[in-house]
Amino acid sequence: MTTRLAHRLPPRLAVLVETPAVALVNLGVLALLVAALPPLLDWAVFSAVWRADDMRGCPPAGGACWAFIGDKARLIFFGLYPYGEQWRAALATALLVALVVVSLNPRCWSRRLALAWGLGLAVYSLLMWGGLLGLAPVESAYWGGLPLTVLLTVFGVFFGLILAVPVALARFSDLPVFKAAATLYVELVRGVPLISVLFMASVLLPIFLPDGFTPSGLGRVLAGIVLFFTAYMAEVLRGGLQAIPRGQYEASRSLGLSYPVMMARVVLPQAFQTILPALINLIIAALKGTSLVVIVAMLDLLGAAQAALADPDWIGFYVEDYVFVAAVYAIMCGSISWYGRRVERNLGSAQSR
Amino acid sequence: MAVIDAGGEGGAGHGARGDAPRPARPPGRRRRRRPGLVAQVLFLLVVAALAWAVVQTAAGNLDRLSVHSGYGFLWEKAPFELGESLIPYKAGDSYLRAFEVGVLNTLKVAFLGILLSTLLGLVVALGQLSPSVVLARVCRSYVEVARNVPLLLQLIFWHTVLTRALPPVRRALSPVEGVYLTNRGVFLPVPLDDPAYGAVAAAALAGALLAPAVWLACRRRARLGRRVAHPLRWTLAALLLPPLAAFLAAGAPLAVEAPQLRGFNFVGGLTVTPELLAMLLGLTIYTAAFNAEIIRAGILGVPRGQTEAAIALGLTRPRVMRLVVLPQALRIILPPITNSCLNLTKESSLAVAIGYPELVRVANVTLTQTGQAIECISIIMLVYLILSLITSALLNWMNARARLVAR
Amino acid sequence: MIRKAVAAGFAAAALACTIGSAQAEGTGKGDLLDAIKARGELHCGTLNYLPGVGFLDDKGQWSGFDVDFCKAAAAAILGDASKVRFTALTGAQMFPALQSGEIDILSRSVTDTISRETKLGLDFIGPNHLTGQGFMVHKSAGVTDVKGLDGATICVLAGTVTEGYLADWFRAHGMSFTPAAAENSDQMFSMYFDDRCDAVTMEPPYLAIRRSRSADPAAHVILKTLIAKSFEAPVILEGSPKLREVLQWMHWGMVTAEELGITSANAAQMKAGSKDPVVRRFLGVEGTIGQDMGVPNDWMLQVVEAVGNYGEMYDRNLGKDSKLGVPRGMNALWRDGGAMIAPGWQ
Repeated sequence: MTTRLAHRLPPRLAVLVETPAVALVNLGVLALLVAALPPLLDWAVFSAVWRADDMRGCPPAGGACWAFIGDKARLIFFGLYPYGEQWRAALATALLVALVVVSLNPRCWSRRLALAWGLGLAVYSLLMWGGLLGLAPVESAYWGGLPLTVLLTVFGVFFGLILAVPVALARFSDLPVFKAAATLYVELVRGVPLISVLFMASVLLPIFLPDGFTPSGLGRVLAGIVLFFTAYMAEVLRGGLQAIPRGQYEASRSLGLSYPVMMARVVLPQAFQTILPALINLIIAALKGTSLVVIVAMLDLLGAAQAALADPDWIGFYVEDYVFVAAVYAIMCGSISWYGRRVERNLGSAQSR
Repeated sequence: MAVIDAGGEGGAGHGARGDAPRPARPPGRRRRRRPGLVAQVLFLLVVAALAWAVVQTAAGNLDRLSVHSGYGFLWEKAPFELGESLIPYKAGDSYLRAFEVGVLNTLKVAFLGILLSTLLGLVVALGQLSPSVVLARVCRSYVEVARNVPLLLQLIFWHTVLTRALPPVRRALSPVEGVYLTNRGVFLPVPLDDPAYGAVAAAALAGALLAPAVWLACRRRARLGRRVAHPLRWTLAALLLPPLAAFLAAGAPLAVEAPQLRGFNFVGGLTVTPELLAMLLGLTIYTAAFNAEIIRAGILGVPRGQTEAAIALGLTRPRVMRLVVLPQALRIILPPITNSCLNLTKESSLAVAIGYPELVRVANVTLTQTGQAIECISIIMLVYLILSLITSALLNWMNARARLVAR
Repeated sequence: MIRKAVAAGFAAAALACTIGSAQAEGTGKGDLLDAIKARGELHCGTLNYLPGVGFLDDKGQWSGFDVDFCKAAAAAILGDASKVRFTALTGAQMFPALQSGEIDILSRSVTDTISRETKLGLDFIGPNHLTGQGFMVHKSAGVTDVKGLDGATICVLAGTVTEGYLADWFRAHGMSFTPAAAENSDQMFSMYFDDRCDAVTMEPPYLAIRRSRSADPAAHVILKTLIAKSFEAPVILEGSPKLREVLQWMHWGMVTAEELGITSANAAQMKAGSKDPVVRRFLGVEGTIGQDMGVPNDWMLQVVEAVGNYGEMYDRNLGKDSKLGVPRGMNALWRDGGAMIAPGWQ
């Protein structure tokens, strides 16, 4: 019966009733959704409180108290960055994100891009640190919230990628010492959890480094993240190097290119294109991984969200808080993977042409 | 000169032995052997010098604090209690014992997490591939959300919900007689110890030994041309019947010890703490999203022709899945899923944020008590390294087996 | 070629050795007091989440009892209470931060015990905050004494001295308990107020702070019995006798200032007008106490002007002038029945 029905429906709806079993499953899942959605929507939208001065405005048994998020948004997004200067952190972060978005598209890889990075980083540091051009100085200890999360992710991946090149080449090399050292490093780091590397960076680094050489808390945590993700990137890059046809090397040799020129001009650009999807996954992993800095007392997005819960004027809105931050993370990770898929598709169609 | 040659050849030989296909090796590295040697010697010396400088600095820094470096503190008394333990432990036992508790708790949560996340991953993967559009869409949304929210956030969320949304002990929820849900954990009844259980366990062991034998016998018959109709059913019967028979023969003793509210807490029965529960919820929901993707890719990796041929032979869809697709997909799935299990084990270290007493938490607390920072962090790294090595050895072994079967 | 490589290698090794030995010599020598003066800034480790003790507000301002100690130290040594760099530290980070020289003073309500002094090589100053370890329970449980907590679930701060005392005390009295360990005190108290545990153990002032901020303060009882004393004190590394002397006498000086009636409001006036030789010596008008210790002679004047005397510092952060309103108790002056006492300034 359902198959007869399927013939009469437009194709979009017809798939819903392809066979009786399919129709039944669809109906069951839909029924579950219909049962679950109204209370959820009621909590999140219809009964929610959007405006209140403090917790008395939000009845305990009522819907979501988004007024809490409204009151705490600046704290959650910017942490302890000085209130009046938060536009600087926002602007700097937007600049950084724009640079990354452009850089993820291989069509934009050029000398101009390197120049843009140089300029962008200068402006970024100026905005974040201040101290020049009438901008009040802000110590890195006060950076927090989303700018800190983005900073750790972007620079973790950026430096990780730069350091991954020699490590990957070393793993690929004929020279036993380099090969062994790179293999040892990659396997050691990949064998331990990120949190142990962060502990090492934040607790042990000062012990291992001489007085006066110890970087700030932010610098140490960033060093840990770079150390960790370099190993994963080197592994991905090694895969990219392996995928490059032998003919490319032979052609470069016959053109008389030296080893560094061959690597920089022929091999690495191709390798980076091949690994772009894996790289996107690593960026997402790094973005999620930065949330671990909470454990070493830093106020990134998650840390600032937890700090927002400590206010005695707003007690008990943890569900709203965590759901909000989870949504921010999900949107960020989701858009990175969406952008990655788009670039990959464009690239694929360009190459097949 | 001989030394240089040996080094160069040794390196090349080692590279050539790799079993993965290596289409490309930058040619032209050969002639650069001598600068390579200089660079290598320099590199080694610089690394050695750096290591030496670091050790010197660390020794100097530690000297100022007169901390006794070394692992001797492991035999001193640990002043703290731990929330849950698989082996007897109390404050006043040694730090070593506390670390053992931590490692066992890590293994416990990893084992349960791997089991649950693989099962959920399989269900979600099949849901995504099901012909039901709505189900597939729901499963897809789950995967997209679950893997894009940091695990740490999920763990903290579940822990907060479990300790704040569930009622206190005196107002415990009891969905089923003997089961209590409270913000101090879930209390479950356990079977009272009975002498018959020894016999049941022995029978179960016998069944476990018998089952592979039956399986092999069925296959041998099949190879000789005398196919057994349902080898899987026979094997399952061999596995399950002996303990069941022993259990029934003993008169089916089913007395259970139910948890009872006595004084402050529920006493007796089995307690699942909110920390363990939050860990399992978070790890399972997060890792299952990745496992679902791996399994889905594995199933899609089986050529369509296989399915079509099997359907043409008249097999039903579930049987096609079970007999044709899944066994082939398994070979594709196994390496990445092992990797994902290893990731889950490493990520169980995030328990430190919610107070589940696993390895990292024990190390963290010990560090605060003793000040032995280098030692405690090195223990964490060492244990995880060993776990990783064991897993990758297992993975290699399974890969080798999968390849053998393929021939 | 080989010879070149070996030569280059030796050169590199020699370079690294010099750097290494220079560093080995650079560490562990000299008094931290000189290092702080040369640097012109005091590095202080504290905490950032406990109002009244150590707190960083969303305007980026540090406040609290432990924070004020570091401000006072900067005023004494450098003559400027603002020359402090604060670092928020977790329990696991605090001792390594001292070990590595990242911070000079750890002022984070660290409890003084013999094993910490001897095994960790620390020097405790003070003590500047005396409390004990007590319990808060839900009134509905009907518990009136710690002995009634047999079998209870108790919330405790992981990695603290309280955790050890708790286990010791229950073992000594043949009682059992289930610990519910928390990473920080916010988490611990939210667990307690959600009835995740029957009792929470901490120093009574902090219990009182949290009770006063709870939804229903009358529903919780702080038990009278203390199972341990607690000497909370700032900490420095062993091996800086001059810094230790300055900080110890600075603490005693703040107690003495309260005895002498010198406050942040009248200190400058007292310096100009007082004829009492003790006051004159104390404020650096007569004698060379400050100079002898290696700090400016008017160091106590700087301290009192910056943070006030001991009583002022207590009342502003924890006591009657704060939101918390914790009574002075043992921290009152000896002549008021408390235990805060200082040697004479003769």
